[in-house]
Amino acid sequence: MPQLVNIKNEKDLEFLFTTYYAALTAFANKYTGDLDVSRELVQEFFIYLFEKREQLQIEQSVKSYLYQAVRNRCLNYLKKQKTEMQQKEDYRNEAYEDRVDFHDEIECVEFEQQIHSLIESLPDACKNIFKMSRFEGIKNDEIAQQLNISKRTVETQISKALKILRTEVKQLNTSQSNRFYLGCLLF
Amino acid sequence: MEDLLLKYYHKELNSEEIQRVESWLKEDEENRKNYEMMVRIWEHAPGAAVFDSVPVKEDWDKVKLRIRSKGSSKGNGGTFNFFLKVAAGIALLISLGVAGYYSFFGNRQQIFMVDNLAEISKNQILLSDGTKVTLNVDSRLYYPEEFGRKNRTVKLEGEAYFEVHRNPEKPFIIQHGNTETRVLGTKFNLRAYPQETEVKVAVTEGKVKLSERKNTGKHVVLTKDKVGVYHRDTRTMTRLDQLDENFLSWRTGVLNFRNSSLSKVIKDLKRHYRVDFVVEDIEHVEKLKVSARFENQELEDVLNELSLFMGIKFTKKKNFVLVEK
Repeated sequence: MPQLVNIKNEKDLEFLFTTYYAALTAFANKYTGDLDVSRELVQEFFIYLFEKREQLQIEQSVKSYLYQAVRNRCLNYLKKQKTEMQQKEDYRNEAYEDRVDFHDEIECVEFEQQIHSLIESLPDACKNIFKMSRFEGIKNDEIAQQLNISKRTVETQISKALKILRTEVKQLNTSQSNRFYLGCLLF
Repeated sequence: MEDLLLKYYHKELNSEEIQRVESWLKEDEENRKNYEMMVRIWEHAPGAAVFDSVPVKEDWDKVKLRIRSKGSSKGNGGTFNFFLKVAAGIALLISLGVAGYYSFFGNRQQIFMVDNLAEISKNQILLSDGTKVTLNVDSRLYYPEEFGRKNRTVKLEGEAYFEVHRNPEKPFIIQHGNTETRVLGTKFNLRAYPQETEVKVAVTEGKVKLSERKNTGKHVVLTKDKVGVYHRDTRTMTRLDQLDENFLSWRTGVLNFRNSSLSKVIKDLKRHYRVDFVVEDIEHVEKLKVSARFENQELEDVLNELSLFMGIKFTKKKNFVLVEK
């Protein structure tokens, strides 16, 4: 179903921005491997959206359009980067574009964003330990040492976090279809 | 059972426990689904970390500013002029390491973005009061058009080396997030990337005060060769009495290690190249000692050399380097 991105004023853009910016930036980051570059690319894209707001007509869902456009910008950036750096191998990209299906990738980013917000609402200690383990890649015994607790406690907290997370993901997914419908109505 | 599942996934169970888990998985389709969801969450969790470092509100403000400044050059007056007065704090913006070069001239406002990743020597700014600022990559310094007239206040995102021209009448103030650095006339390095959990000031000359911006009274005063650290997560300050030899490596390009533990080396590489490392066996890494000197070398070369020296394996992943025995 074709939809129009109807950006009339700054408020409309702000709404799009707050809804999609974090996910689009995380998505871009999978291509560029550089968060500051990703932020800049996505910001520029939003500025472009605003400038072209009168001409824009999108023949696909708003979401696919946004991801598609950001993806193109990333690929252009990488291409430019490559010629500038004389094809110097950039280990972060590993020709990312060839490896993953575009839609899987959107789904992956959205899933990660979902997990992130659920992690944020975990009980503090649990959250802290889980983040040290998964965000910072610290080993269990090292976490135990840093926090001055037993390794066993670290393990229990991590299991606890996983249990809460998977229960909540399940709950969210069952109510997902309703939310999706609402999302369509907004545009 | 929950505890066993993760160990099962990591293949850390003995055969008896494996049997227990596997019969539990077969018992009920629901159990199998729960296990799969747990694995999916476990594997995707590191990817969720990036959302900690995307400041949506702050970036929206930047976009807003740029939209509005473009709007004005096309000449649609009134509301924009009003905004300019509100936003007068950010009159000139210098940014490094981002694609493109822009220069928009509003009525009273200028924004420059300079693409300058390769040439550190050019990243120097001379302010009207005679203060010299050298910016690291991915760093921005904001200062008002009227800088120096009434006060000397600037805003920093990222890392910079300041050589502040002395003026006891007007303290030089650098704001960074919810903290600020206040000096009269000194030389020091300030690292305050918005996405990092620490703000760090290392003083090479004179006296510097690092404090929270809200009047909480939390502060440290630092003199030559002292380092002040503000921990954003716990909102606490600490003072270190020793200047790390490599703290200015981003300016000099030199990383020097004298019988340093590999974990110290990794910490410095992390900072210098702004790349993350994940260490497989932290105890082992703590034991290894390194003496080496690297000058303006690519991360790739440095890792190759280290791996030759010490029989450690570095694997480059999507956004971090994995360190294994």
